[in-house]
Amino acid sequence: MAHDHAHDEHEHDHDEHDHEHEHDDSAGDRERELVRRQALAQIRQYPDVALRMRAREVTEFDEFLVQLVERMANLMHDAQGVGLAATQIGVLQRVFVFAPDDEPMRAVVNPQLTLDESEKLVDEEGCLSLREVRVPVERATKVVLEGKDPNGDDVRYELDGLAARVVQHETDHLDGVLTIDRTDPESRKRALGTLRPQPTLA
Amino acid sequence: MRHTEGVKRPHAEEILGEWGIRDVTPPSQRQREQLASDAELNPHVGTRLRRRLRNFRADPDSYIASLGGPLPYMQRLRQIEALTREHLARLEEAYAERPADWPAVAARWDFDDVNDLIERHNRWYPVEARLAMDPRSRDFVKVGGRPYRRDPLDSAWVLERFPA
Repeated sequence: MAHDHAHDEHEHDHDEHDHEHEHDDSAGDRERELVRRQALAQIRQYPDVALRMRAREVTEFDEFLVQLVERMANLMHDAQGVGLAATQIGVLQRVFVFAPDDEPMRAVVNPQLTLDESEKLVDEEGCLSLREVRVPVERATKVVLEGKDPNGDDVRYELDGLAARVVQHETDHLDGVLTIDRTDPESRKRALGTLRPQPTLA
Repeated sequence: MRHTEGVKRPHAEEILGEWGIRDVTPPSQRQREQLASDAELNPHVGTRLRRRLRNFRADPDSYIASLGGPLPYMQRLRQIEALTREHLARLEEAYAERPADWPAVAARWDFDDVNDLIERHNRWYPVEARLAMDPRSRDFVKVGGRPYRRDPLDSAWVLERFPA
């Protein structure tokens, strides 16, 4: 799931020191953007069929799984996302990582979600596999997430707010479901228009 | 009287717009003459255009590759090829001496360096190269008609090339 930069911009007091660091900041921004693009180059983009396939349950908790989670966490961080499912990198296993806001990264294997249907909220969601598309999606505001960590130990998280939204989004990925499937018809139409390949001179 | 009576019936070619360029205006005539004179000097007249409309975008990995050179999986494949060639050369030297216990030599041959790279290739290549998937088989498509997975090098590989 993509990070919403609009909510994350820090306001700076402009003084003479800002001008000194202006050049460094822009160089840092360029580097971050390059790193983000490199990460996105490894994340499957719509309409890749892997995004539409249901992931299999993980049965072996081995070194590969630990490496996979580590790689996914790095990719998610570099791509400036808040969640990443294994299907998004072409691995059909039920694993995802998430790190909403400044919380530490968590990885969940074979996740099971229990939704609190009493309260739902519609909010815009982006996705690392849907480029710049953001669509409104209705989600439960509270969930209980159960599963295992990469070492095979049981984990249980009671989540709300953005974290709850992120884990629902990532669990959808493991079932081959995208945000454009959960949004209203008008938003879906607009999103598909954006995602349609554009003729380019090459 | 029908309300369309008296209205000129349009021809099909007018509807489809197949009449070519019409209504030449002085500016468009000047542009046309200029283009014609340019064409006389243009060495590419009559050759196919290299730039053309394509109904897709360039892949991000090819874009990144164009910026920063070969991607990690490309470099790893190159390393695998280079190390395999090195092993082959060393094996050829060893084989030339015709050791009596050649199968044992082949069995003891240390392929750890290249096999480690092959294992990493088999594990991460589809992810790094975003290898396309076949939805029916739920597996990755073949690359150049062959599975992307590579077999690790072992004594059988040696004896196939340098029989005992």
